[in-house]
Amino acid sequence: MVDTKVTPSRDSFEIDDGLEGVDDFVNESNPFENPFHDTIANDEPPPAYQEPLQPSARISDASTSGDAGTVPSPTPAAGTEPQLGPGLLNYYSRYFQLSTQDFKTNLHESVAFKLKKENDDEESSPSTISREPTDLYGAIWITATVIMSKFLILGLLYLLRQGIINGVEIPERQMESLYLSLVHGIWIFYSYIFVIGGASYKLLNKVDDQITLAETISTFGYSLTIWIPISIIIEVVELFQHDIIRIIPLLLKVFFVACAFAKSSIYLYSKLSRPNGSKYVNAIIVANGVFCLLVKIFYF
Amino acid sequence: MSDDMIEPDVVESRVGGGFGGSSSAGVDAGYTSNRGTLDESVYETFKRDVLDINTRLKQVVYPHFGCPQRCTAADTGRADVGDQRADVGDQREIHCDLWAPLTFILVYAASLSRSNTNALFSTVFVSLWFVLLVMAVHLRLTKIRDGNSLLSYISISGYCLFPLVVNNLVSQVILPLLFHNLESHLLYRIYTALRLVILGGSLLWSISAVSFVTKSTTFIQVYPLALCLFGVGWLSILS
Repeated sequence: MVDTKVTPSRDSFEIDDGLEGVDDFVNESNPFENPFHDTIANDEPPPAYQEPLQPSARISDASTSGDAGTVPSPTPAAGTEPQLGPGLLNYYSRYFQLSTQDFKTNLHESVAFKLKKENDDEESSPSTISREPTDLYGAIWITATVIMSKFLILGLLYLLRQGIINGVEIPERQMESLYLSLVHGIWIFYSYIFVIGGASYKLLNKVDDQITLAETISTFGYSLTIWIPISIIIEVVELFQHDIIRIIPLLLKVFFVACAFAKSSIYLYSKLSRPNGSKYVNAIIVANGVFCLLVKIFYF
Repeated sequence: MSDDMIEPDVVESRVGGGFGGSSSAGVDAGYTSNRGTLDESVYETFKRDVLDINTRLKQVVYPHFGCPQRCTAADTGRADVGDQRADVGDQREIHCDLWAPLTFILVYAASLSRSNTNALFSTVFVSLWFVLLVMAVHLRLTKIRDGNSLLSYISISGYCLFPLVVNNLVSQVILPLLFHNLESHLLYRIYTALRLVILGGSLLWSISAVSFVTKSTTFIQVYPLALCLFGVGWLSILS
């Protein structure tokens, strides 16, 4: 039976002329008014924020800092609204929603010398491994800080030494090397974070299917924290490399790069080690060593 | 033909102008205006756009050191519009333009590459737009609940380049004119020290401005913006 019920017309243009055309779509929702695209102007948060964070299973520091920690949920709970696709910018906002206290905690863990090895117990399963808060904020901006530290600090040291103390202009050669190191720093550090981080995720996913790409990249990003003080120290050494015997600053640079390698490797091992995944973690440590070598050759 | 016959080419559902929806530019136009550009002279269109830019620029140009609530709706003449309208305005997308950022970047790149090759101009031009994009993406990701678009944040970040443009003009044009005899070591020391001091002041100005107009208060929100602006400002001191 044909339904003859006539729905009230929305406007005078809602007339079906029987031909294909724009009027066929009058009753359809406008994709540009899709609430998934533009709900931020409303009170309701976008779908990515319905449950972006979950209570953390982190055991440590919960009692001391008063911050229980949170873990972003890459996949919302079943029954909730559909999540945003990775092609949208809003999708990635969940990885940048962290408090300053969370960031400080993560930063402190990445530079602390005493690390808890929670994940290397052979009897533990991937499901019992404690999950740290996942954010890409650290991976992006710690890396940027490492790169900019050389550009800013070394430039400042050149300026103080040449411009203020000696009263002469900075040589063109030094300026070119400064800009060159900036370019090299960008491709070395960000390639390390995303390429090696992505490859490590692929490896670790074989033994731990719960690990996420964001978690791996975040770990690699925080492992670079040690490079910030190391970079500043090496820049000070580099400033005086012409005043002392050339071999001494070279040895000092190698020593500090080795220190950075050791510290970042320990951090990576403590965070990425998985049961039955020791060979993969060893491969990651080797990749970290190659990265440090590249940093020494091209950057310092 | 009467004016009623002319269909408006722009129907604004918002009060135009102003970062954070707090400008006075749209008061005269009303909340829902039928402002059209077909039935007005080019001079009027140009004048209105320039005044709009000037209105927004004032919010950045005036330093906001320690007065984060100064530029409120009441201060900018929106108090008489009504609370309801102001509430709607808070949820509104920021009315933005890219003319001022383009002008600032052109001036910045031109003054920086004044004594260098054209390659530097193009490099600085592209780099500055990239920095603005990075700042906008950061703001969009960390302040998504504010409901501003990426272009709005690019516009805001571009306006906040103004103090650095001033610093660049002073460092690259005015100071070399004053210190035309830089062969003297003492004069070069003073010249370098002045550039550092001016850079520090302009950076403080710029960072406080971008923190104010984007309502960024936490370290997480402000640090990346400060890092980007510091990098941009550092270009002028090293050239």
